[in-house]
Amino acid sequence: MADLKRFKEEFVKGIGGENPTFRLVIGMCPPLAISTAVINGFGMGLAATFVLLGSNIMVSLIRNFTPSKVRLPIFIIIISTFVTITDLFTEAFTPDLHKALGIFIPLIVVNCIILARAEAFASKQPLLYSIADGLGMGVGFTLAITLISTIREMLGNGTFLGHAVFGASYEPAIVMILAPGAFLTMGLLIGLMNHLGRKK
Amino acid sequence: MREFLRLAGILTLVSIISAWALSSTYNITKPIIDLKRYQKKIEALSQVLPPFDNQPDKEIVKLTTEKGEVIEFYVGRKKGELTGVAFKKNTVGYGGNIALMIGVTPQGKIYGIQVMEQNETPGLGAKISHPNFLQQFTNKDLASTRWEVKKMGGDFDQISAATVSSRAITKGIKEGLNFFQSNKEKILKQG
Repeated sequence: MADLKRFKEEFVKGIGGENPTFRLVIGMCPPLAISTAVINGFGMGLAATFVLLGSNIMVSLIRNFTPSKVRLPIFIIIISTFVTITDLFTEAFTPDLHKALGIFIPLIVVNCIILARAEAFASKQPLLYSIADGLGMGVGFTLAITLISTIREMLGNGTFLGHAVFGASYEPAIVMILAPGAFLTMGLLIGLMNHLGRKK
Repeated sequence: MREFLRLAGILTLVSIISAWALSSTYNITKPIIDLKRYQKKIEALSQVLPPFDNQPDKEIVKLTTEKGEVIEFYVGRKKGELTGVAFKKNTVGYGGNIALMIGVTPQGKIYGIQVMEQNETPGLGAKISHPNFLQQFTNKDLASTRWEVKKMGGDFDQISAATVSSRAITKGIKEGLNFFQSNKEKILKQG
């Protein structure tokens, strides 16, 4: 079925070829700032995925009624609504994660991945593909941020999800937890992705 | 003019739907959030206070510090006898505000400490929440202790590479104890 094939394509591109973090290099604030622990990175990824999916669905549903002159304010209202819903739900059901992510949940509003997908994709495409696009981009973002946090938490704190992995003799490389560690990890990973991409 | 009204109308409609969605979510989550916050407070109180059988969160003495910080003292009792007082104290760390729940015995000795809120660097300053670090304050009082980290000539171990956070905690507890001591009579009498 052609539909299913396209659905799959739209989903997969966010994870691989158009990965928002490693390929498009947009929405860099959370992957740099909160990737100090795996649980934070993963939680942030899920929160952003939820917002991305919700906003893509809504934007796509109303795309034929959205006047282009006021489309951006409408997108922003939709996105900020989903962000606030996420904020309230994480506080109610995962208060520890909510506290760990702090200001970065409200800041999903200005994550340009979400507005970019609304503007470039969902506002022009039917619902089904917008869902695939939102999910794919969300999963790609979640994988990227989880990978960065895994590297930083393991090297910088000697733990994975809070469990010690290298034994007591390991002296954590504190720089990995601090800001320079974020840029180092990000730079090396983007370099690696480019290298792998070129080989193909 | 007609175009203007149409655009304004659509924006208004979107906003109304959004407001409706938000208020429903708020109404659903509000009781859960309140309950979780309350449970957390009760849990912290039972950690930092000596055993009690009253409801310390209902026996509150409110006092204002010189700096204008309002501190609530929660009084713990067992069989009517006062066993300890707990209070929340704010202090400024490396990443902003740190909120501590401090439990003191009537004699002015620390009974227990919990970190309620903090924004310190994960993996470094955030270790201040760890029991291993907080334990060293137990049984200390103002008179017999130098309230500084060892690096600065005091009595307390600092967390390596997190001196600012460690000192913030030490300073916060010290200020809290000072305030408790100078208002002891008021608190114990009212409570």
